[in-house]
Amino acid sequence: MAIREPGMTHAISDTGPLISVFQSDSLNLVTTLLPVIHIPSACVDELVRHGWGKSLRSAGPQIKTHYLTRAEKEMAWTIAQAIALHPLSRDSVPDNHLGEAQAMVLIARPEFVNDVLLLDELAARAVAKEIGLTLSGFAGVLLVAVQEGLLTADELKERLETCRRQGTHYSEAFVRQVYLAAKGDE
Amino acid sequence: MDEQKSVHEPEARLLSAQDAIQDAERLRMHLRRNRERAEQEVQLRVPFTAIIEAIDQLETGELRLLAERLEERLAGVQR
Repeated sequence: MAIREPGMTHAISDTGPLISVFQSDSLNLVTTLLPVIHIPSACVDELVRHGWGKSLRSAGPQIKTHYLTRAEKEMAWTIAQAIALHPLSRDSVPDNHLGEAQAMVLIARPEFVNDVLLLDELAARAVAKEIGLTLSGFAGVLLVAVQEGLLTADELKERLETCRRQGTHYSEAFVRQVYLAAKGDE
Repeated sequence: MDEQKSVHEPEARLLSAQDAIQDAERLRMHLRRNRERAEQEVQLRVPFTAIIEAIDQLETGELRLLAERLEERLAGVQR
């Protein structure tokens, strides 16, 4: 296990927020706040399937992959089923929720007990809240970066719009409202 | 050759702006709590006069941060 600097919070991420990180070239920014992003192997498979394998390989030690034990995989499968059946879900196939489910199991390991789960999808967020996990979406991390003086509100807006242009479903209203909140935090 | 890039679960419903704002608030508190937890691991005995002298060296931004912290602590004591 890598030695962690005291007081540092790491992130355990689902596939979606990490794609937003890559789309907006925000890895260095995010790892200024959350020095290491841990992901389960199911998310690696999803990232490669969506064409982000090269970005993942280029990230180096800032992103660390973890392989779940058989028992953890079984637990993740149960969570994936709960996400698939959740009223907020638009996809009833549990296999398609394995990334977020494995991330939820990963963060339950003792070494990640004080870390944060990065999750953007509503149904998965609802299940994570039921489990009692500390979570944030990608935009929440950007807002904290603005509060900490690492980013301007205009730069936050540009990053969210860049994600939008590349297909991430942040609505115009979402980007505008988050931008206005960031403006208030500057 | 460049990989063909796409997003994951394009039909999934994503969080609202209100959720994002709450995320930021929660994350900020969480980062701060973790930093404070680490700070509590090493305790030094510092004479109170040294703290007063140190305050005299602070810049405006640092003084504002300290004032904010003091107000929070006082509110906790007065509760």
